[in-house]
Amino acid sequence: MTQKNSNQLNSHEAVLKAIVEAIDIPKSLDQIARDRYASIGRWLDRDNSGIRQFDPEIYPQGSFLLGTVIRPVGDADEFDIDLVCTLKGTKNDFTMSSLKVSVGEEIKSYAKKNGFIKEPEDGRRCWTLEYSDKANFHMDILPALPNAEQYRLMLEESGHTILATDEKISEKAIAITDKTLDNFDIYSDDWPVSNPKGFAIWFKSCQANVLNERKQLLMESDVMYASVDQVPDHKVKTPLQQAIQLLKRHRDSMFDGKENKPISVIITTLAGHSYNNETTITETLRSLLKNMGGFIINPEGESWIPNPVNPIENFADKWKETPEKKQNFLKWLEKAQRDFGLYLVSNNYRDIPEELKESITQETMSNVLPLIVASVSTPAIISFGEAEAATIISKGGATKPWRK
Amino acid sequence: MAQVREKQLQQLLSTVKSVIAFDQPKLSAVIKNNHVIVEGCFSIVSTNDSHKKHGVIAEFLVKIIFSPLYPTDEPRVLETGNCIKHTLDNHINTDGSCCIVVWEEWITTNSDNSVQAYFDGPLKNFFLSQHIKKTTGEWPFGEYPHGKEGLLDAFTNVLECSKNETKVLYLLRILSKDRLRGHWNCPCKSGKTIRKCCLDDLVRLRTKVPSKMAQIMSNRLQSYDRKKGNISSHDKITAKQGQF
Ligand SMILES: [Zn+2]
Repeated sequence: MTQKNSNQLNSHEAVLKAIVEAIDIPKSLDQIARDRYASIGRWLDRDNSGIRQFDPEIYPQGSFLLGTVIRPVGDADEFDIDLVCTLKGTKNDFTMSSLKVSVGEEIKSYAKKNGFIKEPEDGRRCWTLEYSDKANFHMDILPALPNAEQYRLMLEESGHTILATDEKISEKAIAITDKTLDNFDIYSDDWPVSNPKGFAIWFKSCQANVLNERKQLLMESDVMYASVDQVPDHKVKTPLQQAIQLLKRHRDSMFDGKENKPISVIITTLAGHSYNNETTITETLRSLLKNMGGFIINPEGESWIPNPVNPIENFADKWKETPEKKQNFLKWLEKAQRDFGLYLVSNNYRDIPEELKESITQETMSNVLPLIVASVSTPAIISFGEAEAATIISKGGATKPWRK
Repeated sequence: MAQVREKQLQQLLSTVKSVIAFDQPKLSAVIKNNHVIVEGCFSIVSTNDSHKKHGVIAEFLVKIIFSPLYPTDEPRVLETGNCIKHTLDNHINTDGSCCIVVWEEWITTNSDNSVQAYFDGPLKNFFLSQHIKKTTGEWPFGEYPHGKEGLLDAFTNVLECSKNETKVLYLLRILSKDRLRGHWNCPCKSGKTIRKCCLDDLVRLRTKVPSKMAQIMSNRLQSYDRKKGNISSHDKITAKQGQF
């Protein structure tokens, strides 16, 4: 918690912000994570690295890149950090298998040199490094090759010509490996495609105005930055990121330990579409919760939630074979609408309904509740009704009761 | 036909659900007996941000019954919490059904008759009125007299004319026709024909009160004389919905 004094939260917005701070990755750990993947990057690029000729680049993807990381339920300092490791080679240089092994060898030697207790784990697509000190990171490293050409072609062939010509997005596309595929061990052009940086560019575009405003504010208060462009994205938080963090925590506590919970990329995509430059977490949550469902294509039948930077990819493709995934998403959305509405609409800022405490988790709330201003001199609530009536009349919206 | 109605109902349900999502967290909506039924606690929320942090202005337990023909049919609203005395003076019938508004007036004087507009307008206004009446004894938006007189007041307001039953009925008769009859006598009693007098005003009025609506309004006003028991055709519809 960065709140220094107790008893200072005196609005719904301030309480939501304090909850987000409690579930967010602390600034110090965020920096450690960045230092750690930079350190892996230097190792991969060292003089006697087996992949140095391919100019390895390591960068974050997923929630760490989007700024929507949250603590697991229980609030331990455990964070999943998803990374991409791109080698500047081609599919003639590597099979999926040889790319995976080449990157894997270096990650294994990194783990050995740095005294990791666990060997890096060889997953379906990633290598996983487990840090077991006080900053408990699980770093998933995804070996990849640049894949801009094929990505452009694929989009053109499927009729998404505008997206195909958007160089800023298409040049970020990558080809990734998958152990379960038949062509894993042979030279092939047919690799799975992904574009995490492209997705982040899209996500940023959903909130460009507010992001710039926040950067402007930081710049004015921090002499380190001479211009808005110098402020890195991760140095500021936006209401869209904060609202998504709250929604993810709500999901995590609702489906704690259960399977088929709504996946983060679906929540993030629908949230990005629903966001309309609201400047508070409260307004953003309302906007997301009211509009998210409307961005599911064909909600009654075979539903589609296209990847905004690769519309052929359906984020909801698993809903067909596992209908529980779809039902769970709809159940979650309805519960989130009610739980957040109960607090933000029905209650005053001091009285957090049990439903919301449960869905944020009692543990987290026990850190936030003591900070809430216990009672202020409450104005005569009765007058609020009359004030509201006056507003309605001034807007010409009055209607009169009558009896037949 | 049944399929069409089923689709209409599903559409209405999803509209109602999207209206109450987040903003009315204590209400829920289901389809029952070919109607969309909304039940629970209706929250009256301030539009003023600094008031919002103190929670709702008031809450009332309600049951709202939407016909698939909304907005042609007025929703039936019941006050189920017995927080307000069910009396004529409170504009609530003994069975709890609420006299929210003169429906035809709201339909014709508002361009937006969506479910959202209904929740933000007449429904909120009615219960906010009740809340203020209870504490101050005054109806903040006023009230219409009971029965025919109130109806005449409301229609007079819609038609922007003087309060005179014969005149209102004549105006409604003109508007009921599928097209304006220019050779009829002008309702302003100038003695001239419509074509040579208030044609422009009537053309404008027709966009506000289409012929079908004029017929409904005319029937409703006349029903008070036709049936001594004061049961209008509208009452019969709502009586049928009594099964909920
Ligand atoms: Zn005239």
